[in-house]
Amino acid sequence: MGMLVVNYCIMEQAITLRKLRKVFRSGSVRVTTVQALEGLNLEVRPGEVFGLLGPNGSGKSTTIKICLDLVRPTSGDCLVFGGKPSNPESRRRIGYVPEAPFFYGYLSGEALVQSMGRFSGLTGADLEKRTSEVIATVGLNGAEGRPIRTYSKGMLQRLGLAQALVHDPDLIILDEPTAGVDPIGAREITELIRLLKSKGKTVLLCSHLLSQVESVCDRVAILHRGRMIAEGTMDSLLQRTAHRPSLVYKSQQDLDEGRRLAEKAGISVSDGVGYERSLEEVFIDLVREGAEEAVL
Amino acid sequence: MKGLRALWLIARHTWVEVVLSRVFSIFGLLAAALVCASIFLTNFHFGSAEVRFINDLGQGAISLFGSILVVTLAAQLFFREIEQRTVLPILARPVTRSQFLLGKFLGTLAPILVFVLGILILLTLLLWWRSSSLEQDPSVNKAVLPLLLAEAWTSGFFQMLKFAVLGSMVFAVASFSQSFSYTVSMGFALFFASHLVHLAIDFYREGENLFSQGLAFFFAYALPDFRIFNEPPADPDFLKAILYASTYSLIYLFVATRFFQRREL
Repeated sequence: MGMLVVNYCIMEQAITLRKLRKVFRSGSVRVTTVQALEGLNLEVRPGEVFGLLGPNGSGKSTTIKICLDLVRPTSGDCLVFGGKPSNPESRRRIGYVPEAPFFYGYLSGEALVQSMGRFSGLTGADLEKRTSEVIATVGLNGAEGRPIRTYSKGMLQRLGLAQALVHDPDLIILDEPTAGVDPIGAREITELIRLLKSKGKTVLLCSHLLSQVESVCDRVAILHRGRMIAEGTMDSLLQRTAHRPSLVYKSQQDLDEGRRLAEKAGISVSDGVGYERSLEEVFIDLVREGAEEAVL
Repeated sequence: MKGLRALWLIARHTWVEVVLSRVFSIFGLLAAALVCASIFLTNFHFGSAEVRFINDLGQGAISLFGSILVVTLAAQLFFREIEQRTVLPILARPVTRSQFLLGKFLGTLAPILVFVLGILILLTLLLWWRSSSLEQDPSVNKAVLPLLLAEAWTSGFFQMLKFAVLGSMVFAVASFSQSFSYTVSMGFALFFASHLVHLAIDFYREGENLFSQGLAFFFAYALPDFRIFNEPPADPDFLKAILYASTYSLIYLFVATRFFQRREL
């Protein structure tokens, strides 16, 4: 008699949030409360790039801070790779880039990255190797010896990424990584996120730069006033919110021709728009052209 | 071992921040200037021998400026980490809040120790130089100088114990306080209250009703008696003083870590 053995492979999620609730209280005499999260359920799978979207005050940063044990939930569960974030060992696998990062100004970029690597348990030649690798990855070569107080906002953001990656974490949490970064820098950060994804890393991205989220995220969740109002893959989310099918033409001439053909075929056309390049693309092209002219 | 490593790294960062801070340089230089100026102020020695006056002034400088440094630096360094959010990438790593707080405490105390040692060395040099140039003074002889130096170094040691307790008290306040100014104000209030503990002890012993006795008991034993460190006896019991300072420091640091564990960052 044959025996059927079924192996259930339970995949360990990178982040699991169950009925997560957070209420902030302030004041000792007149206590005021703010409900930051209301029963949030969320799962971030290993190897995916997950976008956390929402307007200011929607609870994105609170969610991230709970995952890092910087804020404790009022109720509900938060697990990172199956462990509680209050356990320091669970945080060993996380790299975190805070919003508008600020570091000890007297240190050089290299010294800071090394210092953060030491906090995560790196030592000796391994630390040296990883430090030079991540500095090159984020494009801070040549500036690593300078004191951090001389860094621009964009350089600080890159340094934030370098210190988050130095210990080769499995989960990278990015809180507004493009805040204060010029479009070229933002695009480079997007490329870096793609690189991390190709290496099998899990990325939790919290950003207001929707074009970036759209281009790199596998799945997104939209928060509003502490509640999740939408969650899913990028395609499903975009299809769900699409009201009408549309065609995009490259020129006004093509648009007019398309409209004429549609009307001839008995298709009702309510509106039509020509293809326009985004400001980001125009800006990047102009800057690149300027840079090339300067070289020539 | 990993825990000690994190603690050491945080203490080292704090040490550098203290050494680079203007508060430390200004008060350190002021204390040194006051000790050096004592040789010009000997007309105001109020009847004491000149070298004794220099010694008293040196010990006073350590006590005054050391206390100011401990309160302001402990509060400043703690709140700078919170306000500038440099604490976030550290605590997002496998570093516990207790390690962070203890590292900050040790990193603040280490430069204070250097300050105390520096002033004591300066004081020793001044006392030696002045006593050797006052050979004709009947109040100064070779037997007096070693006695004065022993007194100065013993007093410095006891002051250092006091700074450790005071530092732990400031961190306990900072762990739940929301502002730098409140922490500094409370730090100095506790500093002065700890000098008046003997009054609370007397009140407790002579208290007539249960409420006043309870209140006096709280102030008598919740706060350390700083007179123990300010007025060491001629033959001090070092072990007892270390035990007393360690007990209070550990209690206040325990309170600080408990509050800091629950703090939202």
